[in-house]
This record gives sequence, C-alpha cells and structure tokens, in this order.
Amino acid sequence: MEKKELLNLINNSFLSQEKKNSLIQYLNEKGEGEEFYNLFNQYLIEEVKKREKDYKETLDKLDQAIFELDKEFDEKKAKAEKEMEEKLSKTDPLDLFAKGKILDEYTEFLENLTEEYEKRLKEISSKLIISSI
Amino acid sequence: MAKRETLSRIKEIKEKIVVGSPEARFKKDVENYQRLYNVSEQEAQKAVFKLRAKEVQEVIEREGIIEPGSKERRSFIAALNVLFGSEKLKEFREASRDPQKMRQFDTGPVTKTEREAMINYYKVNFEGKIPNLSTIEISAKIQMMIYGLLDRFLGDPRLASKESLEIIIFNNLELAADLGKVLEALDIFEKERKKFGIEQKYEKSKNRLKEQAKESLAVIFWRAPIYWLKVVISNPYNLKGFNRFLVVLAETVIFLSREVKYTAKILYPASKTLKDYLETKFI
Repeated sequence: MEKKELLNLINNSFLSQEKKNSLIQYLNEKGEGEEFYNLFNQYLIEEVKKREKDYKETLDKLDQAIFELDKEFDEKKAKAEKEMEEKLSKTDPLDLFAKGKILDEYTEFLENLTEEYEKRLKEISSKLIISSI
Repeated sequence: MAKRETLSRIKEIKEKIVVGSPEARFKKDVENYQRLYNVSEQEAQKAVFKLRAKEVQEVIEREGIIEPGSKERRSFIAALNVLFGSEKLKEFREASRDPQKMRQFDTGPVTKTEREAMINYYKVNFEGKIPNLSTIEISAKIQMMIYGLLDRFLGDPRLASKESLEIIIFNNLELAADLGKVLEALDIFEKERKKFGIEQKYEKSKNRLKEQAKESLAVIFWRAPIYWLKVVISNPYNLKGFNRFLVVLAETVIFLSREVKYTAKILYPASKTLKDYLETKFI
C-alpha cells in the first residue's frame, strides 16, 4: 500500500492522537511491513476493546439514571393521580363541572410532566455522553 | 380578475360547507318535517330535536357509548345550537349546577354489560390498553347519565304542549338543567378520554426518549469505527493487513448487535459487511 494511503488510514482512524502519532512515527522510521501492521492491528483492537468496555459502562450508567428518573417521575404521577382520584371521589356525582376542572388540572399536569421528563433525560444523557468521550 | 375568481371559489366552498354542516342539516330536516306532516315550524323543530336526542340514546343502547366525534353527537349538539344559541346553552349548563333547578338524578350501579362495553371501547381506541377500574366506572356512569337524562327530558309531559321548545324550556328551567347536564356529561367523557390518551402518550413518550438516548450513545461510540471499517473494506488490498483487527471487530459487532438492543440500528449494516468479509476469508 502506498505510504500516502496508509497515512490517510491512520489519520482517519478512530485512534487517539497519541496512537496516531506513534504509528506515523513508526511508518516514517521503519516503513510498511508486518511489524507495522501488527502494531496498527494491536492499537485498533485495544481501542475497540476499550470502546466496548466504556460503552457498556456508560450504558449501565444511563440505565441506572433512567431507572432513577422513572422512579422519581412515576412517584410524581402516582401522587397526582391519587390526589385526582381523591378529589373526584369527594365530588358530588352530579357536579360534572367540578369533575371537569379536576380532570383538566390532571391532564395539564401530565402534559407538563412529559415535557419535564424529556428535558431531564436529555440533560442526563448529554452529561453522560460528554463525560464518556 | 384572478382575485374575483378566488373569492367566488371561496364563497362556493363556504356554501358547500354550510349546506353540509349538521346545523344546516337540522334546518333542512325541520323544513322537510314541516312539509311532510303539515305542522308548524315550532312543532317540527321539537319533533326533529327529539329525534336527534333519541339517536344519541340509540347509539348508547347499541354500543354502550356516544363517541366525541360521532355523527349523532354532532347532530344533537348542532340541533341545540340552532334552537338555543351558544349563550343560552351556557345558561343551561349553569342551571345544571344550580340545585334549585337541577333535579335529583341517579344512574344506579354500572352493570357488567355497560362496564364491558366501556372496556372494549378503550381497548379498540387505545391499542388494547384500558384505564383503571375507576375511570371505566366513571366513563360508563357518564354514558348512563346521558341516556337517563335524555330519557327524563324526552318523557316529560310538558314537551307535549303546543308551545315551542324554546318557550317550554324557558318556562321550566329544570328541563334546561337536564339538557345542560347532558352537555356537561358529553364534555366529561371527552375529558376522560383525553386524560387516558395523555397517560398513554406519557408512557410512549418516555419509551421513545429512552430509545433515542440509547441510540445516541451507540452512535457516539461506534460511528467512527464503523466509518473506518467502510474505508478499509472498500480496498481489497487492506483486508490482508487488517485481518486480526477485522476478526475482533466482527466479534464485537456481532456480540453488541445481539446483546445490546439499541446498537442494532447502527451496527447491523456493519455486521452484514463483516459477515460478508469473514465468509470470503474463510471460503
């Protein structure tokens, strides 16, 4: 393979800049040969293994964060639902106007809760992604 | 010229819409009734209005439910709009909240048939999902309330009077209260339905957002190696030099595609490419 093409493969690879520099230096000093490919392969394998490990760890963290977020939001929802049910049970069965207001309040609460969940999850995943790279 | 044509077209469309509206159909039906039975406009209005109310009852009898978007519901509301106008209907609703005007009314307990009809309705309209028992009971009771109040209204002997429906109702505000309560019951069912819809949306939205977050994570970690894989594989000469790495990558990609659900989307094309490569290598 031409040196230019190899340099291109190194520079476009997903290796760290440090590893890229090391490969370029090796190529410049010793040229293309079995040992160069061994080193390149070794770096690539190490990087893939590292990514696999980091990826699984970050995914676990995300799962844990989602679990906690779900717990928090499900509790908020359950509390609001209970309050709504209690208010409804105390309302005169014929007082549909009051019932309507209670249902509207709860519906609005759920709409806001959905928006808040989206915002919080985006924040959590962005933080995790940033910390993992 | 073009502007005049556009205006004329808009007028034509508006006329078509009005002619086809439930309000227009009510007026037309009143005219036809008047002609057919040779009665006064007031009598015809009363008769057609009663028919509209009976149609609502028939739907409840048949299906256990009067849906918010149903033709019968829209026709009934349209008849009320034509006969009384929105301001008066607002007063009817207020009368229904006034204990001096609203008479006692009890639907009685919800029966198995009514409960099952409501469960079935939610199942059909919400992808097999049903709300909790209390919502089912409330929704079923609302349908019973609409049916029962209409029954009380339609069976009222005062409606047999020669006077117009408008005069009868204004002189007997408990009848206005019954109609107001029917309107509120129709609204409440719509609100119950909306509430359940939003609950479902909340759950769905949560699941969609979780998938998106996990997919984004997979993209961040695997986009660069997969892009590089494509570059390497595009040149057959590379294959020999990167055999060791490609075998390891293939194992990783296949493992992740199988084990981590959210990676499938991004890793599937890569696993196909690698599978082809490995097949070529070992044949």
